[in-house]
Amino acid sequence: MKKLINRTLLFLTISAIFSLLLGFLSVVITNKTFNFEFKKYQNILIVGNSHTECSISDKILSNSVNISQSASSYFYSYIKVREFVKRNPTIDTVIISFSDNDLFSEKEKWLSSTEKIRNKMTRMIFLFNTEDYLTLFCSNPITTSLQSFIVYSDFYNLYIHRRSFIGGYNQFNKNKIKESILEFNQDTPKIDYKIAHTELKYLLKIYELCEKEGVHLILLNSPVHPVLQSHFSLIKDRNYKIASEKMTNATFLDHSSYKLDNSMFADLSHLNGTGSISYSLFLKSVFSK
Amino acid sequence: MLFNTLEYFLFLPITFLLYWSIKNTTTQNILVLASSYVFYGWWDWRFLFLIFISTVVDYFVAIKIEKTDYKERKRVYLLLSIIFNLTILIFFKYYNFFIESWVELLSSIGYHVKDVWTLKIILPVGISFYTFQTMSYSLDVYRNDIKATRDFISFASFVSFFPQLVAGPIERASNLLPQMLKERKFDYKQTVDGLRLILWGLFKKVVIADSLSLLVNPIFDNYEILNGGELFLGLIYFSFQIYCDFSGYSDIAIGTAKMFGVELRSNFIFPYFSRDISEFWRRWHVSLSSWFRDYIYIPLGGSKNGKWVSIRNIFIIFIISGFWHGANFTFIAWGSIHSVLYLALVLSNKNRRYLTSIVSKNRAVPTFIELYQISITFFMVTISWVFFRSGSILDSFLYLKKMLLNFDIPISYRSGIFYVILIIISDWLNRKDERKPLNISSTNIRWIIYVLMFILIISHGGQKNEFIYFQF
Repeated sequence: MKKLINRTLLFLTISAIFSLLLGFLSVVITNKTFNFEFKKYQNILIVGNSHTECSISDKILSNSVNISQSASSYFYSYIKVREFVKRNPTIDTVIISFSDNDLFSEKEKWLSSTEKIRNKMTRMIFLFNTEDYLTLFCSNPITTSLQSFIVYSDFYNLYIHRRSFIGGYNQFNKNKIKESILEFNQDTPKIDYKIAHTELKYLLKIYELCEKEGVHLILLNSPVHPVLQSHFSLIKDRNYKIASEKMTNATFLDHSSYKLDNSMFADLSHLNGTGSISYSLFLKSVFSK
Repeated sequence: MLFNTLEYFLFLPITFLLYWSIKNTTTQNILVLASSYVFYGWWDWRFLFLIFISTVVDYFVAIKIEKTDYKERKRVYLLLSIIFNLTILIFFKYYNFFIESWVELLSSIGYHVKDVWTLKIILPVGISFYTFQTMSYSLDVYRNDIKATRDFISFASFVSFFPQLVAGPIERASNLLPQMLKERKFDYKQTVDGLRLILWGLFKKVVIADSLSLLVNPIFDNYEILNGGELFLGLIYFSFQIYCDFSGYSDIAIGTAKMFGVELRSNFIFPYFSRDISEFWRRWHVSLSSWFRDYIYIPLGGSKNGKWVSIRNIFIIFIISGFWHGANFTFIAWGSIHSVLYLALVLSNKNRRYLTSIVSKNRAVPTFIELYQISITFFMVTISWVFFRSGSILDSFLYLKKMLLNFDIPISYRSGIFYVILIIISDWLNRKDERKPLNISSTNIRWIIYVLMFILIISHGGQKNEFIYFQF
């Protein structure tokens, strides 16, 4: 039995060392080969979660690059802004999703839940610095530690898919608005008045970073279905207050009531392909003014 | 609890160390029983009572069968066990299917039923496996093949032995129960063999089957818009997905049992190297096909009462086998196709050509004839998988029609070919002994392969996909 235990421990140690080395190597290679650079005419960086991911086509708003990704905590958006702004002096504007429910306390899980760390950490770790790693580690030590041994696991995807693997415009082709309304009526989501403090902290860090780099920050409340819009109207003032008090130089664009046909929604809070085209054209006209 | 989860990664070594720290066989069996109930209850503790009742019924029925001298009474007790086990199986697995089919039949003749008495029934994991296992015990006692045990703890450990509880191999009391009753000693070599099987099984499940499932699911979901070549790839991928998924589970089960000093039956013996359909059924899900052979086919007369009886019996076991897999007409169609393919061999007296031989035993590569036979068998088996995988019989035919009439070079979904080639090569190299994978003489190379496989398993392990056979 002693021999078995010794051999097993030896095997696990060798595997762990090898995994860490492989992870380190994949981080270095990804960092060296990743295409951070924007084209000269691309001056807008779009980050955030599924709201910006599904609503703004960077093909239509052609001077922008959308690297939003669904269920992204502001923590990951902060890292993206930091790394991309540092490498692209042409960026003068950052658009970030700031929907009515983005600061609900349940969004704390977007940083610390096992599921989210599993999904995000290996694809974003090549952008991490020590402080980022420690932040994630403190939020969920077990998952972060375990995930550290498989850092290499998304290396192949990062190598193949490049930038789109960490975010990009997502054109939804579905339209499940009827089912979503039905679901909403059966199980109406509660309005959460508690604030997700870590999310707010990183949103403010994004603001501070933009201020420091001379980049204009736009907080975007993208279009949602009227059913959801009226439901969230109670919380809207709070978000506006946060924006106006703590991010004085940022612009708060509230397009949540932008009128779109039912057929242009994927569900209550996301636009589908047709909706995003219509909205991106509108946004383009806003920016051209 | 799934084999491919962190919970199991912690559960197994804890149970293993506790088990071997105990010297007494009865206490070891109590630990096996308790850990098996924890293992099952991790999924849903409410269904533990089903296993417990099934255990209690068959324990007492077997004793009654043995005690009584009257054949009629023995038969009554046996019927009690069969009726009880089949009732719970039919209720949980087939109740809704029967009701819905009845309603459809009525509506097809113009009588529409307004209130449908379907229930929201959860299918208890592994019910088809453990009910068959307990039933076989009573049948064996009835046939005087084994003696009824008076040791309830050992019997309950046999029924609920966690490595094979939820997806087999379906054990026979004659093999597993004596191992539960005797003293077991820690054997380093047996444990290492077990760990090697676990590693290989996890690799097949997590790396190959789960990667292929990422290609199979979109292909079957969108078959209307894909070309025939892509659909053909989807079918090949599914053949290997289901094989790696289920044989991977069996390898982990057999490997885990070895760690506890228990030898389980083999369940998969390289079925895709079969040279005809009858050989395929001697190599695919062996514990189930031999169960049907021993407890249905032979009692019905087997092949000894003339050709027509034999044909009828073959047809019956394949239909039951299909139906065992799920409450859907697609599984019956799958079983029927195999019965027709098997019958063709029976009628030409060619069904017993390859009983034990290993293909190309003393050669590195197969002969042209062997390659042809293997390819034809694989092709037939693969075509039948369409019915197994599709949601309805209509979908199956439409899939096949699109595949054959719209054949073109696949332009997407080609990445799975790598996994298919990988498993074919590794199985070919291993084909002489299914219980000794990764049998490489050089220690250094072996360890490098172990570490690489382990790293790949861990990196692919995030999805935690269920094993396909859990649904059966």
